[in-house]
Amino acid sequence: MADGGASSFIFLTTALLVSGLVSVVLINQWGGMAQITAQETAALEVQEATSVDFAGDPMMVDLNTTRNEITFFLQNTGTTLLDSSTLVVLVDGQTMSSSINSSLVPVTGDWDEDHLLEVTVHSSSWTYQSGDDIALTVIVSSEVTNGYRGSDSTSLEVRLHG
Amino acid sequence: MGASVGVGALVVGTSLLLVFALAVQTLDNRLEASLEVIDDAGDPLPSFQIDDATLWEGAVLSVSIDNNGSGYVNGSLVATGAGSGFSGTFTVDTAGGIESVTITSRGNYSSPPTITVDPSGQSGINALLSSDIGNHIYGNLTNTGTVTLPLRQGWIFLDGGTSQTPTNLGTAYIPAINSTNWYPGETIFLDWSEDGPSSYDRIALTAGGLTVAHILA
Repeated sequence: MADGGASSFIFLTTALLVSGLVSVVLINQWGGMAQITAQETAALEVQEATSVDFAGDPMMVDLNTTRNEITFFLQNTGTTLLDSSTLVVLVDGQTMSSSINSSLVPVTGDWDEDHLLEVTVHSSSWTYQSGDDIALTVIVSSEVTNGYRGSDSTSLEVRLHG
Repeated sequence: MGASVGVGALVVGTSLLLVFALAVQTLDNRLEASLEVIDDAGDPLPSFQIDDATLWEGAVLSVSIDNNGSGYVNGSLVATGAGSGFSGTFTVDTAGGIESVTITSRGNYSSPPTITVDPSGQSGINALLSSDIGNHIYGNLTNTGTVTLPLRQGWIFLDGGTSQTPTNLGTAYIPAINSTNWYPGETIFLDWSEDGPSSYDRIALTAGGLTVAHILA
C-alpha cells in the first residue's frame, strides 16, 4: 500500500513537471507567434498604405530627342510618404538605374498625396521618336513608417510626344 | 496528496488559460489586419470626367491702369481690336480717377486690344488703360463617382505637363463657396488663366490614380 502511494506520488510529480514544461513551451511559442503576427500586421498596414500611380496624360509623355530624355509624373495615391530615392524605372523592360532625376511639384515638402514627382529618365541608346509607344514600369518604396517600408509599382503603356 | 493534485491542476489550468488568451490575441490581431485589407480593397475608386474644355489663346488676362485720369464715375470698359467678347467694369476714387478694374468677360483677341472707358454717362478725362492677352481655359468637370475628392489632390496637365508645370486643381478652380472638396455629382467650372509660352492641344486631369483627358477646343 505504501509502495502504491509512493509510485502514485512519483507519477503525479512527473506529470506536474511534464505539464509545467509543456506549458512553458506553449507560452513561449504562442508569445513568439503573437510577436511575429504583430510585426506582420504592422508591415501589412504600411504596405497597404503605400500606393503610387502615373499622373498626367499617357498619350503625351514628353520626349526630348535631343537629350534622349523622357519626362513623366507620378502621384502618391497612398497615405504614407514615398521615398523618391528608392525609385526604380523600367522603360520597355530596361532598368534605368543611374540615369533618373526627380523633383517634387510643388518643389517644397515631402512626397505626400498633395505632391507630384516629376521624373526624367535618360539613355543615350534610345532611338525613340514622337508617337512611339513604350511600356513604363515604376517601383517605389515608402519612407520608413513604424519601422517598416511598403512598396508599390505601376505599369502602363504610354505614347511619347516630343 | 490531494493538495498536490489541486496545485498541479491550478498550475496547468492557469498556463492553459494564458496560452488561450495569447492565442485569442494573436487571432484577433490577424483578423483585424485582414479586415483592414479587405476594407481598403472595397473602397470605391474615384470617377470623373471633363465635360468640355476650351482654350482661348487671346483672352484678356489683365487690364493695367497706366493713368487713373479724373472726373469719372463708376462705369464699364470697352475693347477695340482684332477680336471680340471683352467686357469689364471699373470703380473710381474720390477724385474720379479709375481705381480698380474688373474683367467680366475676357473675350478672344489676336493682339492686345485697346481698352477704353465706355463714354456713355462719363465726363472724365485722361484715363489710360492697357491690356495683356494670353491663354485662358474654360471647362466643366464633373465628379461622376461616389468618392469625394479633395481639390488639392487633383492635378491639371496641358500637353503632358512638361512645357507647363502641372497645376493643382485647387488653385486653377476657385469655388464660389469656400469648399476644398469636389463632391459626387458636382460639376465645377474651370476658369483658368494660364499665360504659358505656347498653345496646347490636350488637357488632362489626374486625381486618386485616375486620369482623364480631353482635346482643347
